[in-house]
Amino acid sequence: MIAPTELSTSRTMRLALKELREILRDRRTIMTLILMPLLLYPLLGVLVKRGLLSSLESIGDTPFRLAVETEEEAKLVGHQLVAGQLLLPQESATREKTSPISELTAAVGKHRPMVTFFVPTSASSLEAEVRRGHADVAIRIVRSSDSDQSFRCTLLYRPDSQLSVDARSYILKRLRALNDHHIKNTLKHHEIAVHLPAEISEYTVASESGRPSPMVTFIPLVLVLMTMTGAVYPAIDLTAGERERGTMEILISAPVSRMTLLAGKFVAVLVVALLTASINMISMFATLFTLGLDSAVLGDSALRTIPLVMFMMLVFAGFFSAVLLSITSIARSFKEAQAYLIPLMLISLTPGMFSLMPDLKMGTFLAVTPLVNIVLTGRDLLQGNFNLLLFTIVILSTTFYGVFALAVAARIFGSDSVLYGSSGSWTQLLRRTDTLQQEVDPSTAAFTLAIVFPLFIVIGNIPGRIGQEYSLGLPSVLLLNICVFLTVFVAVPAVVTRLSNVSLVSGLSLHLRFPLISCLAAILFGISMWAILFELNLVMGIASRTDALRRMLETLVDDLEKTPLSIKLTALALAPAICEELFFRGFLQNSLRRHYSAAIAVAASAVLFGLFHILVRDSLFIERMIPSSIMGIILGITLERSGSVFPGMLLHTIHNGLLLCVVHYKTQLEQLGVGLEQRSHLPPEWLTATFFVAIAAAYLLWRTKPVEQCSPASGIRESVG
Amino acid sequence: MTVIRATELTKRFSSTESEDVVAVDHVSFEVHSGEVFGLLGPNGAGKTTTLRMMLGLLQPTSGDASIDGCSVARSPNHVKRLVGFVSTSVGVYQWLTPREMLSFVADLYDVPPTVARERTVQLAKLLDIESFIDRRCGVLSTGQKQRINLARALIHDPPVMLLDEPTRGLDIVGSQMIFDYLQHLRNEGKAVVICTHRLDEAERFGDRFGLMHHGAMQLVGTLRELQNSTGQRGLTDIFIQLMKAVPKESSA
Repeated sequence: MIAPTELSTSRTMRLALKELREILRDRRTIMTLILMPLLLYPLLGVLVKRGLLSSLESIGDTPFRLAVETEEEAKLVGHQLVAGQLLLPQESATREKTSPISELTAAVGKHRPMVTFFVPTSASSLEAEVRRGHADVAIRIVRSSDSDQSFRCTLLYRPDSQLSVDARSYILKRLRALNDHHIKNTLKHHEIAVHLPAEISEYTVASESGRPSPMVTFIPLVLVLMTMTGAVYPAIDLTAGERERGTMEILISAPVSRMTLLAGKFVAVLVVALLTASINMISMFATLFTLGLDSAVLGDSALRTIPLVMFMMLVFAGFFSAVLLSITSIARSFKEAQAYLIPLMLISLTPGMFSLMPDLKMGTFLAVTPLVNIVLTGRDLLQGNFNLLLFTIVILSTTFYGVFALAVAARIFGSDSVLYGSSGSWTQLLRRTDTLQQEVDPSTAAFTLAIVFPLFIVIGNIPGRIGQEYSLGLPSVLLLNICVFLTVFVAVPAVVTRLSNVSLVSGLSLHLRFPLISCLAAILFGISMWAILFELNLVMGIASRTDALRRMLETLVDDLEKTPLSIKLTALALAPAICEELFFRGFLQNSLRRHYSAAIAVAASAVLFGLFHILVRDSLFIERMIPSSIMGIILGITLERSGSVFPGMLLHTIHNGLLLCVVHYKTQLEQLGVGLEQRSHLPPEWLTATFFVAIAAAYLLWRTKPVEQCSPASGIRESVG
Repeated sequence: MTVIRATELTKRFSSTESEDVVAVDHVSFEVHSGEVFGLLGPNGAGKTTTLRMMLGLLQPTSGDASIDGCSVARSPNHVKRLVGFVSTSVGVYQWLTPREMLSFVADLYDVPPTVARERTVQLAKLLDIESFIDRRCGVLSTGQKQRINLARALIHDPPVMLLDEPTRGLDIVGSQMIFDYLQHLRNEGKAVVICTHRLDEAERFGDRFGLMHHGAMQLVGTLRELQNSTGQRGLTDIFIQLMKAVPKESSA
């Protein structure tokens, strides 16, 4: 009772502003927020630079490695370099100003024996030697003249390596000095210079992506840790701190919903976390730029990905703020909250450090592992490696985990057992209720989503891999796929439903009594929607991208054609329809409907349905979002109007089944003028017919009145928040 | 006119031991407008729990309370608008000034800003907080903070006031300020419930009294009615007699 859940956005913002005003007036916050990063990074930067200096001193005697194709060419280039060296003024020969690092190298350059030549084995090209980093720079002689030892050459170097860039400057400077000297001499004798002693053209080689720089991994880890540090104090202060000071009662005794109060606090903590992350980021990058370490640490591509890193930090800050609020809401005092958070910070640190391992490659499993996924994606982004699929998985999984944490916080925050309960009574919040409920509450639904998504990502690819490993036929793979669907979309929600003391029938909307008219509507939608969505794909140009999907699944498509239609219909139409309907509509939408309007519940489950459909094997198909979401909305409305998940299952099965039949009978369809391969439009009469059928279905659905469902739990529902 | 009505309010807390603790046991009473009702009893009698249930901060195990005819269970938000709540356990926002805090609380109760400003001026004059209204709350004395809380509870001009041990920790000057405040509330026609274990003080300000012991309401009435029914002179004597008559086991 007494837990109104309405959310007022304007009041949330006013509450957040008040909280921020309080937080920012506190000098302790300012210390953590602004002064720490402003002092920390310049200090760290100086130390890093000192470290680099000493490491360069230790390699001070190591010359640049210059690769050429033959011993003769080595002699030729060496001769010209020495000549160039002699022509350079003494001062500039030892001080080459390209970057602060080269200043450092120049400082120790006096002892450097300049350049060592090496000739690669015949199997290896000059490009490969430079790419792999065996050579800092390479020179390929294009044409040489024995008479005056002049040559035309191509210089190969890696612009993303400071050492290679320095080696290039070293060589260019000497060869150009030689050229300048030659031009001057020629002009002096009123002659025209025909051949320069060293005519140079340049060619860049990208580094072979090898071991990631530990320093680049360090940046996202530091950002994550600083975001966490920034959010901890306000999260404790606004929950346990308020309770300890007695101001929580002011809020709880006011006519404002707990959800709004929590949302205000969440926004305030999020803003502080983001401020901390931004100030840290600005201070870190400003230090790197000021000390000239930016290209050495980040490389050229890093700057382009900084906005993506910032977006990721925003999602992470939201996730972590929610986690913090859910934990600190339990605590009754500042001290208690700190006692809860210290283990969390230590636990967080372990995967963070784990992600510093240079050989750790990001995969789907790590992409759904909280914290590690953010640090690794940050590292990859700063190294210029952007994988849209993994990035989307990271963002989605982090968002789902954040929503779950926020739902837990909403359940705990300001509840009377936390505020006034006798010792240990807050654990009742997490205890299974004794009375039978009608549906799972939204916080438990968020928890299930936070389990289902990573499970879907991690085990979704297993059937394909097993199929490849053991050379299984497609029917076996399809059977395994059904098992995955049953595990992810049926077993998990069913177990959660039972553990929440909710009957499976009401919790998953498995009511056998539903209006027959809704069944008719479902059948009509099932036989009409495929054509409408097919045309929508053509109009939106999605079909061209679908070709990419087709190419990706080419082998699968060939196998699919050989598979009997009955197996295909079972594995690809019936099973997904039953499982997805059970989870997205029967479980999720049904649970959301307990606290939100039909529109919000339908839209939320439809968007989630769409998001799950954009992840296809190892690729991301954002284009599938719109058609899948449209189907999600129709299926959601079907549940809303019928009160049961079965009409939706029927609709979904017919829809999937017809699409499979269209592919299966494509040759027969081509004879009717429907060419799937040519992406031609459906015949107008087909379209008109399906359009009217869909209209009729919508009308029938609109006329449907849901049957009052009898439930053992009816009459005992409470408006518990 | 009856403004506050508590009906069979009961609260059980689950305990780590096998048996639940009954903090409030079927408590019923009424308070009229312009009346100060003293809810009296020793520490642990269940006074504060009763008050929290009346405001909707705690969910009763059974029973209900109504304010101005509205059920707390059915319309918690509406009831909260009708009630001002003062408690010594309620603190102040350390980093806001009293003026900012009053404006913030007024906004929580949807009081229009212009009305809130006018009320702030009136309350500042009434409770003598003008001299420190723009200083940070964190640096104020206990008495000053309590005055801020009294003003905070009145900023939305509620017809009902619930006060929980308002004189705790206050010196004689502070306590006198509370008595003046109660007189002001009575003059304004508000229905007031005040919880205290200071029976000597209660005699000075209360119109009627409810004596609680071990979670149950033992006696209800005016001082004269209580004197007549018990034959004792003051509230302290009445209570001592009551505690002897009601051993712990009989009520729990």
